[in-house]
Amino acid sequence: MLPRPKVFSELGNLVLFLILEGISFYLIINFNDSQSKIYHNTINIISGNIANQVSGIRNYFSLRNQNIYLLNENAKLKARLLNLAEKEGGKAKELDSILQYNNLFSLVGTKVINNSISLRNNYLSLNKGSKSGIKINQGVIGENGLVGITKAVNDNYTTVLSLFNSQTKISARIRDKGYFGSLVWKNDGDVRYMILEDIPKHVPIRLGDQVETSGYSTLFPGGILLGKIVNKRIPPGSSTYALKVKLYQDMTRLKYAYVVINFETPTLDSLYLQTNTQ
Amino acid sequence: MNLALLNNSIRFILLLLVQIIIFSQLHLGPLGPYYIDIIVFPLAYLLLPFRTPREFQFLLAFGSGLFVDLAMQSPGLHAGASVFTMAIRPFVLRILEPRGGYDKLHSPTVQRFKWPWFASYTSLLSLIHILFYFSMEVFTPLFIGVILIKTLLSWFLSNIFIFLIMIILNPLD
Repeated sequence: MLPRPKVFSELGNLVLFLILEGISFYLIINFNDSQSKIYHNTINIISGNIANQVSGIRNYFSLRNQNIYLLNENAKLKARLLNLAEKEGGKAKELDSILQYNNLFSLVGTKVINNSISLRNNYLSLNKGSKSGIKINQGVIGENGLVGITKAVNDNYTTVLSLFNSQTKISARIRDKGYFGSLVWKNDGDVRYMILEDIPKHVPIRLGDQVETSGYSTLFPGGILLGKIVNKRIPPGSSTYALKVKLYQDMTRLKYAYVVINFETPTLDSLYLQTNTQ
Repeated sequence: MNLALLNNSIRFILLLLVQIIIFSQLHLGPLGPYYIDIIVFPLAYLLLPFRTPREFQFLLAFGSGLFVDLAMQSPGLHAGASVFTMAIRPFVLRILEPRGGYDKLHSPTVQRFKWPWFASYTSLLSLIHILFYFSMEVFTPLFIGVILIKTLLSWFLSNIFIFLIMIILNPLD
């Protein structure tokens, strides 16, 4: 006779069942395209909501610090305004370039509601989404440098691929020298430094040289300061430098970020498309 | 005893091969997104004898699902559905339990239990497998309509083929 049918006659069977279903679910969301997109979007919505609540509560306890932060930010902007007014009388050419810059890009100020820095591939969440004009594949900058690139957007939240992600590659150049390369993160867990690659070894590099965005991509305006070189090294057998760059942006304390909206992206994209199809 | 084991093994492998070589290649249906998948391989693990240890039942269900998944490039979908169906099997067996109870040495086959019992058994469990499969394939409750339509169409056709296979094989255990 069959004993009274039970789903899990022993605890071990329950564990086995859960493990097998876990493996299946892992396979589904990692190796199936549409399922993985849906999964990440859903997690984005859920974690966005939760993080927003938590962040709302936490805000009460850090109002003082935030005020200081906003004060600093305001001071900076005011200083910029003053500089601009100064230039208005002086060099007309530079003013032109600033005006043009303003027309090309606009910034959406957002609050960071979730930020990971300890994983191999790190992500952030922002509290604004497509309602504010944010789309995927737009650059995100912080107070002192870059933050990442938008990856998934829904109405009210955005997931950002952090700089500290194995997929990230930023086109950067050395200020005042013009040599450009790619800034990448070796995922060694240290979020203070990134590596600037592809600079030929004949280039004279001095420690302390500043690194800025090159402006070759449509994601970021050129000339945003990223960090300074603290160590130079040529890997054996290589013809290019591996330069260690100390970032100005402290990602561990990031609270606000600005999404860069480039008005020229659609035009440029269609141009690239034409070039590709030829 | 050993003969039954051999028969079961051959049947198990045969059903998986039939699934990936014949039925998985057909994407039937003039209905656009509502295409039909004919899924007959659940029969492979549903015909396992009652005496099969529970762990092996789960592992064989998982393995068979994963095998079909790899052939159809849908990793995890059938594997998850198979393991889930295997977890539901005792419930269905309890619902369908005949008056005398089950003989532990038997398998859930037509020869042992006659057609009405077998038809209810396979159709209930294959419905669970197919529903789980399409839920995971569509992966969002927003398209519940798509899930249900695909499930019902595929379930209906799959069962016809499951019965045909059963008529052809007609195993004892």
